[in-house]
Amino acid sequence: MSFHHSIPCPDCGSDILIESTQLLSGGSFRCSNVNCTVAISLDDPKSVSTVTSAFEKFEKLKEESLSQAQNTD
Amino acid sequence: MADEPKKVMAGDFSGLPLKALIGAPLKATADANAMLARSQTQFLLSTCFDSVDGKLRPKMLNFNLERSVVNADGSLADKKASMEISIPLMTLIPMNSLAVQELNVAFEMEVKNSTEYIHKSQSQQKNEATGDISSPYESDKFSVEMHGTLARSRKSESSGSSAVKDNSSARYEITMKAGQLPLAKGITTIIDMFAKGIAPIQLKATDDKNSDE
Repeated sequence: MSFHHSIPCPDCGSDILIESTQLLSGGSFRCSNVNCTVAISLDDPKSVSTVTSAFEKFEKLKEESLSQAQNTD
Repeated sequence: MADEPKKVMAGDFSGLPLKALIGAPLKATADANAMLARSQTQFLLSTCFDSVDGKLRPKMLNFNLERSVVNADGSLADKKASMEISIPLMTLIPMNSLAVQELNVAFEMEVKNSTEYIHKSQSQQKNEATGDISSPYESDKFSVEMHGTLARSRKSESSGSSAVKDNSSARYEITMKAGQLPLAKGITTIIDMFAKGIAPIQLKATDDKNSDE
């Protein structure tokens, strides 16, 4: 399961929409305002593994929260 | 028809525990949000920060930033300017998605009151009387004999139907929406601070000199 989020453009500050799966696969995301692109550095395996692990933990947390909420109902 | 006391439909709802009906889902939602807030905090501290010498330092990620370059003549350069920037991990996590987005409590109650009054009457009356008079009269020349019948018949039929229908209904509907609360101010401030830190620092000419020295 993937999710969308936005980060501020390093150049102009406007939001750049990123998608988790595409980010981890090395995709780049463009700022529509100043036409610059950002992508995770695939040369740095530590960054990739850190993001992957964080996304997995976040997904797990969301699923747990959802199941708890359903049990409350 | 005698006047009947009018039924107040609102009275049908008076016994409802509306406080419990509305309050209970809201309280459950508030509890769920509080639980999620705790989970968010634990997640942030354990996943997005490293503890170094008792101090929390944000985990940073390396990103490549590419920008188009415009030549002096206005044309777009073939080669893009590329630089490496560091982004804090916590800015990539959509923390605000861990909250109750919308709560709808739809409580609907319908009370219908229907009264029907039908009155029918029918009557029939028949009177009949028969009399026979027969009295022979005899004289010298002739004899007379009289026969008579007296009958009176009256038939009266009355059929009537009167119907009174009274329909009344009352409906009670509660729709409630609880919106998502924004992130806590502290978290927003930290994320904003880190987000601003994404922007590369432009060194001035004097700074360049100093750095060379």
